[in-house]
Amino acid sequence: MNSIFKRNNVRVLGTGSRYIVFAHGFGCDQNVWSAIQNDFVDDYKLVLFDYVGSGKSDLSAYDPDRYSTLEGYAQDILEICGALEIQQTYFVGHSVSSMIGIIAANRRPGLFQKMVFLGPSPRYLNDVGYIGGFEKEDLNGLLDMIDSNYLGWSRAMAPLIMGNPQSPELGSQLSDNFCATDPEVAKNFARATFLSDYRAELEHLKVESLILQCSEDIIAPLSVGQYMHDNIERNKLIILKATGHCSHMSAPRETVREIKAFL
Amino acid sequence: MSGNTNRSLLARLIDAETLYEQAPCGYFSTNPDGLIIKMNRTMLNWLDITEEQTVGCCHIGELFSKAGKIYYQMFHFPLIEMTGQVNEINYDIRRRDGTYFPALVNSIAVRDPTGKMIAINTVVNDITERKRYEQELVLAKQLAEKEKYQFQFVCDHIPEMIWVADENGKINYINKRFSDHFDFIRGKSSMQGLASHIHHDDRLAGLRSWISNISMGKAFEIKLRIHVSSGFEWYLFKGQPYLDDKGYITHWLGSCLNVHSHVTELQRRDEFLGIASHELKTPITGIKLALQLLERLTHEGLPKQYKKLIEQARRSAEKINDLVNDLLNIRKLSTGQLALKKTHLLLSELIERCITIIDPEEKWPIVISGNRSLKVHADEHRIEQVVINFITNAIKYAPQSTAIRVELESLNRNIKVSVIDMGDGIPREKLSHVFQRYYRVDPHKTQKDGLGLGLYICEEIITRHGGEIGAESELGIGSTFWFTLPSSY
Repeated sequence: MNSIFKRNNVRVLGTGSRYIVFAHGFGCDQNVWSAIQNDFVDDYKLVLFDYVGSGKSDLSAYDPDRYSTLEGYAQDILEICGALEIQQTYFVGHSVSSMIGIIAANRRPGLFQKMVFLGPSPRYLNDVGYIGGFEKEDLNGLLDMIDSNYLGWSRAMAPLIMGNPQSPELGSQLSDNFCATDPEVAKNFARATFLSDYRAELEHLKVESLILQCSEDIIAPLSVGQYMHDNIERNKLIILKATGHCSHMSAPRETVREIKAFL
Repeated sequence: MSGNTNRSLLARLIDAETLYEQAPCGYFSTNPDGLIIKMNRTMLNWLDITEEQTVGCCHIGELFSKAGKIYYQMFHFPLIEMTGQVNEINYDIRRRDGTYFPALVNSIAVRDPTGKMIAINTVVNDITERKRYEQELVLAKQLAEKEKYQFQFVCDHIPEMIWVADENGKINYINKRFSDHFDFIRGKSSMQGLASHIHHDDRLAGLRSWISNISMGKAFEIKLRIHVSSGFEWYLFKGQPYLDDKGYITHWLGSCLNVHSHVTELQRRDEFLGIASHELKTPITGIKLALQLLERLTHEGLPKQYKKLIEQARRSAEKINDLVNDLLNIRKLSTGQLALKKTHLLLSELIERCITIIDPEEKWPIVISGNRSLKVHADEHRIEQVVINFITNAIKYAPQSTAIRVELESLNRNIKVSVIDMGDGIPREKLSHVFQRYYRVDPHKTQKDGLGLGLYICEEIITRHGGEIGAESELGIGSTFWFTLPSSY
């Protein structure tokens, strides 16, 4: 059990009796919850973690095959809940973690009591009769940017030009940095996220759920929020005044208010 | 320039408004949602838009490509929120006309006293030029990697064993074939352990020769036995210095060749010839004795023609005797039995004696020139053998020469003896082989050549005296065969 806590850098905060699992989105780690976590510690037990390959997770446990689809990440969540012997919990997922949560819920019915999705999308690429918001070349552009901006331009370009840097300390800050994901891991996660199509999972979700959708979100357009709402039973859709893709960071008060009202 | 002008210039330089608007980089500020709330003149010029078209109505995402927008939302913004700043993110920035320029973007969070983020300040640097060179660098790097790979491929698959050493002769590279060949270094890139696998009798001499050749900076060949799975085998190490453009040795490049079958073949031949010549020695002595007896008997009234025939037979027997002696010498050399009996010698006397032996009737124009007082400490009989060989060769191969000159000269600590003829000369490609065993310049003219052992024996003799031996030749002008010996004081 210890190994899973270490593997996913699991932290449990709060004095309440009911659990909430907070699942961070692509490109981030559990620190994204710092602006809202204090609002929940009195009433809940918060389960914070980093997906394998993100934040301070155990990079040696990274398996490119397992994490090439969202199923592998859903497995992370189920294993964490198992290790903590959680029978029932609430779930808050940001961005791609919404779909990861839905996959986990469908694999283990009864585990989640209520689920909150921040800026979710079941499919990012456009399709016939479906607007996901992305074309394939947008994704390729993003993969290029991840390549050339790995921890900032210098650290991305220098190894490309120099090969292995003569000063190993150049790369040693890696694990201390926020969002310090290995570029290959980040790209694998990006592919798993942006090439995924989990629209078929939506109709199987039987858990009561809430979608919090920002009013202007390039990653999850309003049409996507509407599509999910139409295809999930017992779902509530709220359009926030906040814009962007990270309302829990840019508009923490509004986000907390809506989550608490729903739970 | 007056002090007033200086002050007003300085005042202008540090004027905050001017600094901001006309900075050599783009500045702009957004609220946490990304709405642009301020932008400097430089940035507006780069984008080719007005303040009215931007401030208060344009979102930061509109400056980026679609990928840039996603990147901003997924990495850039969370990073500012968490750490307060983001440095050196490479975005393509969109101008009004839809074209893009590459830029490095730095952002910093502006927070109120409670820590709440109220704005983000961003600096933009145009890196169009840098990006171009960067691409060139990456391409150059890729090319270099490719060439390195190709070089590695050639080195590893060439059927020769190759080594490279530093200027001190320390081997720092061996190719794959090399390390595959010797099981004690297989899979390693160093020669660690090779020395202990060299045959005990060759180890010290081999290493000494290696060190002395490296320190002299001359190309070299070293033959030694190395223990491999089938036992000890002969290997030939060749080394060649590599000079930089200033003429200094920076590397040594060389090969290693298994010459076991070649060496053992030669050894077998030597052994056979040694035994054969030894066996021949006794009957030859018998023939010579018989001929001597016959010669005496001719005084007792045998026909004159007999005398002539006996003389012919005696000469032929002498010749066979010389050849057999050569073969015996070879055996002595290869088994290390050639002992030197050194005395102090006056070289000119030795040479005169040789000339008398070769040409008792003074039929050939042989002359001695140079310093006649030079002395050496050497084995008289062996040096005579060398001088006789040189002069006999000159007579044999340059019979039309109008003069054969034996020159004596003193060079630093050495004495040099040269035998110079004015014959046809020897082609360069053949000259380099004349000291090799069993080599004959013209293998078809067997009546002129012997076994091709004479010069080889000469070289061995001179080398054992600590001297050097060599030959120079020019077609149509003549040849010079020379040797040096350490001078005696």
